[in-house]
Order: sequence, then structure tokens, then C-alpha cells
Amino acid sequence: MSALSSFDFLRHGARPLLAVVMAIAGAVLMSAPALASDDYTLPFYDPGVSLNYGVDRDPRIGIQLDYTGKVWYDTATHPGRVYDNHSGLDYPMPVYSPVAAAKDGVVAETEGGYGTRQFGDFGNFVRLRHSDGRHTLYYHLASRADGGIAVSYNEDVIAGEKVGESGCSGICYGPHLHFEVMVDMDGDLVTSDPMFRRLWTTWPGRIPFRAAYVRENDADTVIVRRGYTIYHWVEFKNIGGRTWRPNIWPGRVVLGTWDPAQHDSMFAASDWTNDWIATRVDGVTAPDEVGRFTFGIRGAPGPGTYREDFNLDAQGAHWFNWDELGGFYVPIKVTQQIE
Amino acid sequence: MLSPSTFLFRLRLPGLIAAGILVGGLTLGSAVAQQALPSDGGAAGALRPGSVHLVARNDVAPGLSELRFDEAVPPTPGADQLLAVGPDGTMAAVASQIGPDPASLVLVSASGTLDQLVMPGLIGAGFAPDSRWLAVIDGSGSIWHVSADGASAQRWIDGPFIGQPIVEADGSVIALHVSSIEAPIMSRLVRIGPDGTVNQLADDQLVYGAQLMADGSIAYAAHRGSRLVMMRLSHGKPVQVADLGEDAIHAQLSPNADAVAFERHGGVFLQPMDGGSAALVADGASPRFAPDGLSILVDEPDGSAVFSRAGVAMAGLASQAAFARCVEDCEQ
Repeated sequence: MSALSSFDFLRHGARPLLAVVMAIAGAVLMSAPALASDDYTLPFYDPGVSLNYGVDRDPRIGIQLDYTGKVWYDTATHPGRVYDNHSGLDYPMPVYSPVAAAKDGVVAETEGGYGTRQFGDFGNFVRLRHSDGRHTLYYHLASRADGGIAVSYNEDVIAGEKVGESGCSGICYGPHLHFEVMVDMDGDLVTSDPMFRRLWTTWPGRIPFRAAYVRENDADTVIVRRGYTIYHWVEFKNIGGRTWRPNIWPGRVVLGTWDPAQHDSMFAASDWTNDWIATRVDGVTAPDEVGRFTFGIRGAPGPGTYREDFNLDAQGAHWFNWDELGGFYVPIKVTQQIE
Repeated sequence: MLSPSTFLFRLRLPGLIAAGILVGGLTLGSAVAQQALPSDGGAAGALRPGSVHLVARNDVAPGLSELRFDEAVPPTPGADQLLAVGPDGTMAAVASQIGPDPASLVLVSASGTLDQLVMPGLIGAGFAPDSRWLAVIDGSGSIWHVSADGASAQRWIDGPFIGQPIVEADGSVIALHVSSIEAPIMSRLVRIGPDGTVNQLADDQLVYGAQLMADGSIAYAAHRGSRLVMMRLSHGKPVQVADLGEDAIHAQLSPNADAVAFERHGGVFLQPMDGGSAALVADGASPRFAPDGLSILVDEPDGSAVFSRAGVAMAGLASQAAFARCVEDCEQ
């Protein structure tokens, strides 16, 4: 039987209740196993998002203990740090910003019935259950009718997969995402502070899918004879928090045509997955590693000079930031003869 | 036309000026009682500078009274919320704003008196059956005992609790105990006895709201997975009476338990208990049954409206509104 869900202790009055909650919360906040930096990715894709309020690690009213160890003996708000009894991490972002799963998991609960900006006691949310026993919570989302809930109850999700879009439902004074990591204590979900002992305002983890251009086998114009195929490779560094994999969907990382996204390419070779996916990442690429993408370029159109734009796509999650990839494209010259 | 047995208490926001009481720094007409609480959060000045509140009662029809409440400064989102109405409809509690910041609790009497308390934030309130006191939930989720005349206010029990507390005849309070006020992922239905002991009433982890039925039983709406269910406590045992599906919110059981009214995607629906399908009653939010169960009050963007169960508009109000629990013979 759950120690807390039974609520036996409640019969002894409110003070014991508070004491038990404080004791459990304090124990969790102070002694929960520290998370490694790559265990959880940040629950959004925009690198410009930053923390507004973190967890108050002291459950007493009027005493605030932030993630740096600083204590305030007041109930005022302290932007960038904490406000009294805050149970999660607040990240301001415009309404309808994509929200991402912080770790692989299962959708344990969703609520999407409240209006995107409907103020009230309750709001829209997604809660995920993870294999390490923790849960993550994404609160104040837009309504399901507005696209705020992108996953279904009991569905498997991967880290970085879009689970919804931000809003301002519930007790909300400005659009933001309330993100929370919780520990399951015999059926009771108790807040933990993922930033405990870490002085990074961007913790936990990193933006799930980010990449930086490294090099390619031929950075100049690729010259290909009409009707023939030549092979090209490009390397990107994984600067995100999610490992790139070639064969796990959703979330496999592919090189696809860009501007517009997913357009049929005139240069699709026989080894392309389809008319817009040139290739998948050649191998498993962990954060901070370099991944290679090898693909054919077929000289299908008539002689001339062309350009094909490419971007990385974590399928089922989202496209990468093309500008961060250096605006990657391949200049192509199709000839009648091999030059 | 409203049922003669219906007593509707409505709160009108800017646009009306009538005889009444002026508070908030200026006094006109009747005397004003204004009290700053000797609490750790009782900061003065929670009423916005220059704000002026005006209240007046207007009996517009037999059994239908209007309480007008005016403010001279432009309203802000979440400001001037009707929190609770006394069971006999002669009193209302209004919050200058909802949330954790210091706020004014305005106690309005239909007799024309008005009191104002500065509270350390406001979330909800509920009147005792005899209208002599209120249970008030402050911004940190603590419950206060506040006398209806505003003469006393005492922090009673720490939570955090949210929602609209229900005060029973013996002084017990039914409330929702939550894990977090901002993101209540766990919300448990509890009864707090007059001596402060707290007992959980149901195993549901996420309860959205409760109501006291005429027979003294409790009905509540709970969220499970992705669905909303309507429950009723029968001899202390929870029994599911309706599964309202995904995205249903603000559910309320009719007084005779023959239907559930709820909100989904901006519409108010009525789900009969006899197995029929839910039918759209009106556009709007937060449906509440009249005490006789024959009409439904809904919130609209610019006020409120009353509809019959069949969806026929019965009254439109440019104000927030609530039904009083009883109409006549409330003393009994």
C-alpha cells in the first residue's frame, strides 16, 4: 500500500501532513540520485529559451532555496532563480512553441480540454513515465483542439519527439512551459530538482536535436556527367542532447531536401530512400560525436549549373536549424562529358 | 423566463453605476470597513491605486436578484472574480485578482454593506451554510476562516489546497489537496474536520472539483489517463456515474443526478444518465445547474447566460453570476 496515497497520516491532522510532505519532498530534493547531463534533454527545440524560475527546494512557505544553494527568507519572486514553493522549471516561450519529450518514455496522462489561454485552477498537460522510474510533466500547454497535445495516452515517445505545443492554460500569467521532473514514491509523484548541485540554467541536458557543419568530401561544385551518379559525403557534429540513429523511427536522423522542405529532387540517385531523403546518418552518433551522411548525386537534368539545399530531419520530431548547419547546400554542375 | 424557484446572484463588472457603497480610498454613502490582515502576507495596497468599487443590489424579478459591482479602473485578466455566493444569495465574495500576489477579498452583502480584506493571494472561497463565515484559500494554498462581516480572519490550515472549498454544516471543509498550485498534477479530495484533521475521501489522484448533493453525498469529477469521469461517493465508496471522455472539463452533476453538464472545446453539453448521448446546450464555459436542476448557467466571454436543458436561452447577463443554493426558507 502506498504510504502517501493511503493518506492514513492525514487522520493525524494537517501539521503532520505538512511535516510528512516536507520530509518526503526534502528527502527527494536533497538525496535523489543526481542525473547525468545527457540523461534528459531540454523539453524544447529553441536554443534561445532560458530558465525563468527553478525549483524551490525548501517546502516551507517563506523560505526559498534555489538550485545554487542560495536561500531567500521571503515570498517574493526571484527571476532566473526561484519563487516560493515552485515545483518545476518555468521556461517562457511564445504560445504554440513546440515542446519535446525530455527522455524516451510512455504517455501516462494527457489533458487538452482547457482553452489555450484559459485561466483557472487546472490547465493542459502531458505527463510521461520513464524507464528510470521518473516522470516528466509539461504543463500550461495549448488545447488539444489547437494542437497543444501531440501524443496519445499510452503512446511510446522518444527523447526530442514533439509532445505538444506551449500555451497559457491554468494558473498562468504569461505564456511559458512548466517542466517538472518527478520521482514516483509508491504512487505519489514527488518533485525533484534536476538542477540540484548544477549551476547551469540550461540543465537538464541540452536541446535534443542540434548539429554543426564540420566538412564534406568536396566543398566545391560537384561535377557529374549526365546520367551518371557520383557519391558525396558531409559530416556534422552532434551538438544536441539526443543520439542520432539511422534506423529507429521516430527519431532517426536523415538528410533531406530543403527550401522547400521535402521537395522532390532532380538529383535523387537510386540509393536515396525516396525522392526527398538522400540518406540516413551512416552510424550511431552520440552527442559530441561527428556523424557522416553519404549519398549519391545523379546527373539527371540537362547540362547546367544547379544547387540543391539539404537539412537534417529527426523524423517524427522536427527539422534541425538550417542556419546552424551553415545553410548547407551542394552546388552541382551537370555535364555531357566527364570534365 | 427563469423558474420562480431560482435565485440567481450575479455580479456585474464595469458599465454600471448605481447607488451603493464606494470603497478603496474614497467613501460615499454608507460606512466602509476596510481591514488589513495581521498576517505575513497582508500587505496594504493590494487594491490597485485609484480603483473604486461600487456595489448595489437590484431585485429584478421574483427570486432573481442582481448584485452589481463596479470598478472605475480598466479590468485586467483574472481580476475581480466572483469567488462564492452565500447559500441564501444575500452575500458574495469577490477577489480583486486570483493568484499568489496580495489581493483584496471583498465581501458584499445584498443589504448594501461591504467589507474588504487584504489577503496574501486568493484562489477560492466557500460560504458556510449559515453564511456567517467563509473558508478562503489564499495564494499559497492555505485555508483561512473569515467571518462574513470581515471582522476576523485566521489562517486555519496549510495545504496547499486549490479550488472552491465546500463548507459543511458541522464546520468541516471539503477541498482539493494538491501537489502544486501552478501545475496540479495530483489533486486529492479531502475533508478537513473542524479540529483540523484531514481525511482523503477518494483514491482518485487528480480530482477537478466537487459538489455537495442535496442528500448530503458528494459528487466529484476526476481525470483518469486522458478522460474525465463523474464520480459519486455513496456511503463513502466512490461510484462512477459517467465517463465523459477526452477533453471534457468543468463537469457538474444535476441536483437529482439525472444528468451531467460539462464543457468541451468551448461548448456546454448535457449528458443524460439514462444512456443517451451528450447534447450541445450552448456555447460557453463552466456550466452550473440551478437548484431545481431545470436551467443551466454558463459563462460567456462578456458575461453569463442561463439556458434551459434543451438549450433555449432564458436570460443573458453582462456579468459574472452564480446560483444561490436555496431560494426561500433558507433559514430552515
